[in-house]
Amino acid sequence: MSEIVIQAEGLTRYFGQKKAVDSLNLSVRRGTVYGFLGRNGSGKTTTIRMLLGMLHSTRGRGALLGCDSEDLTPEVRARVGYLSEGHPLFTGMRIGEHADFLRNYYPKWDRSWFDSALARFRLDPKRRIGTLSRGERAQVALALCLAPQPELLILDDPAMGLDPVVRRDFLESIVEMIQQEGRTIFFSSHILGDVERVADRIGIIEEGVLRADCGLDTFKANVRRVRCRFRDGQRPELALPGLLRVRWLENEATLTLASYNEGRLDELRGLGAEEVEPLDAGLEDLFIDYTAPLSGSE
Amino acid sequence: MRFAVNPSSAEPVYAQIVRQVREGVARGALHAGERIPSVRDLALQLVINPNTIAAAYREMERAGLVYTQRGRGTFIAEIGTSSSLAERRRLLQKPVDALLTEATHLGFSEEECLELVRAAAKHYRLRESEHE
Amino acid sequence: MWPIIKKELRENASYLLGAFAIALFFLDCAAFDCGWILLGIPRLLMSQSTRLDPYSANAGFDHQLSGTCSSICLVLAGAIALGQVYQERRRRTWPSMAHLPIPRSRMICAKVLAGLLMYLIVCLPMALLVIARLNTPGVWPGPIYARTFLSMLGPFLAGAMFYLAAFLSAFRSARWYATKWLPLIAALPAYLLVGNVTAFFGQPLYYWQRLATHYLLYNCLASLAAALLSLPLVLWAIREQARTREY
Repeated sequence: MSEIVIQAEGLTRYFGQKKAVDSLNLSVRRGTVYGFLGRNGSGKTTTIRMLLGMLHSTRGRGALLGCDSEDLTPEVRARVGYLSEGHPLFTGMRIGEHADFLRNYYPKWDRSWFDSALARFRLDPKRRIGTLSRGERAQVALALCLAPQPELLILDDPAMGLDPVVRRDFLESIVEMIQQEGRTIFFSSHILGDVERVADRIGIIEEGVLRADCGLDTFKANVRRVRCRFRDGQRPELALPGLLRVRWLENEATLTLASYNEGRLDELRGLGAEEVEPLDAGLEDLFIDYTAPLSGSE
Repeated sequence: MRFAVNPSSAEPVYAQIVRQVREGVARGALHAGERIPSVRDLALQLVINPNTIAAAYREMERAGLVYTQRGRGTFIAEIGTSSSLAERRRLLQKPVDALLTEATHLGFSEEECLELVRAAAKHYRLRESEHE
Repeated sequence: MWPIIKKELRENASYLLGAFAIALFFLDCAAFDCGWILLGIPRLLMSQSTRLDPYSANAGFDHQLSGTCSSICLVLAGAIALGQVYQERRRRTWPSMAHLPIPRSRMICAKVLAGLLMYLIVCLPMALLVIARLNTPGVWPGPIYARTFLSMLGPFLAGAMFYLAAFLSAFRSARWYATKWLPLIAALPAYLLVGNVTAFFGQPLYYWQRLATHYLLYNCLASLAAALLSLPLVLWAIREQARTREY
């Protein structure tokens, strides 16, 4: 079993003149939970489609489980689970029929697990998929995705439009899945609170370029918010390297720094700050500061 | 003892767990030999990545806070004193300095400070001193 | 493959019924050369034909019926193909299908077979009606050879070919104003070819004696040439699509 389950080298894709993905390099090891973050239209779905061999890359190559993305064999596809945006299902069928349809193609389909998952969600396999609510459809889609015991799970915005209870259920299923040896999860999501709970590593893509690719703890240690209080009436120009965002409130500034360490606090004191205090900030706040354009004093 | 983590905090989740176990042991909420939940159970209960929980457990085992018995679980270890007195004094110096800095800023006298410490010490399982 | 075929049929079944109803309606109108009689099916089985010209070169089929049948076949084929592809696109289930662990070519093959099966299902009642009409006394003024029915096959085969072209066109991720509908345009000569060849071979035997001056033969050769010319276009379209891997 190879160590690197997802690999991308210089992956680039143009749509006409527009560059959707720009020289993306990615390397995901087995056993990681990778949160792929980015704003709408930043190139997440395009990257995922290229990795899965559904979109031809203009340049560069990708590989899943050691197999080139352009030539994914059915054996490799059977080991990769994919849930695309919007939890699509074949609406003409019943749940049980859909499961039977997929069961034909996956040798490792775990029927007992699927039945118990449906029972846990309190869904009758005889129900027509067209009559399910959004949350129920998402649950069925996830169950169908996990039933073939995939080694690698790729989820494109799995929590879109779901209520908090279903989202928590999702996370629990993901946590359960990670418990098993050698499973890797690669997912993109806008619910950063959820990403924070389960991700080991994150990658932030912005306008097609992968800007950050590191461990979650590393990211949160390096990108930090700092509160500074200056003497009354003073609002010095804060031209620090790695400054992402500044927000002023009278004589107090909340800055977000991209490469935080203890020395930066001294730098700020040097600029005339009376009180300097690092703040706690969740991944969502840090992400917003990281991807928002650098604005001047607000 | 119930664990609670805040994923949004700047403190890494594994550090939060280690801290909570340490505080629990110090306050007596966790006794030596008591079993703490397995990595799997805690991960499901808190809905946190099991790798993070596993990292916390590894850290605690390395620090001698807990020990694992295969097939039986993870248990709290005795409060050990493996380092020398000088080393331990050095480690305690930092929190003492922080306490005294705050006390100075808040305008407490030495007696008031010690009184506060004595009152709080009742809730912790400090080692019995040999001479009084 | 079979599960995919079943799934395709099930998904598009409701549209088939609609298509079938419309086909029947127009067939009905054409058969009577008159207004809008919806319940004329019993009348179809009565011997009321006066429009047939048994000495025309293209005998073997009622002109109007033939024309209607071929247009219906084309429209049905196009509708089924477009319906299949755009339904999948609208429901966004294409990525899930593309990710199934089977060779991509086999999946597309299954879809195409399902589409042809649907086409067959819808055309069958139409064919049966036409045969019923021809078998009613007083409609066909001569002995019926098996070859007579061959010319009826023309529109039907043309429709099948049109289905393939429409499927390929809808499938291609080219821009709609550029080369997307190229296969459909290329299918036109093929349609002519099929129509003419089957009409030619549907003739009674003695016409073959005047082969050299028979206009149908010229038609055949002309449409064969056109089809051969358009073949590279279609092959290029298929090859280009396979290369982009966006199928």
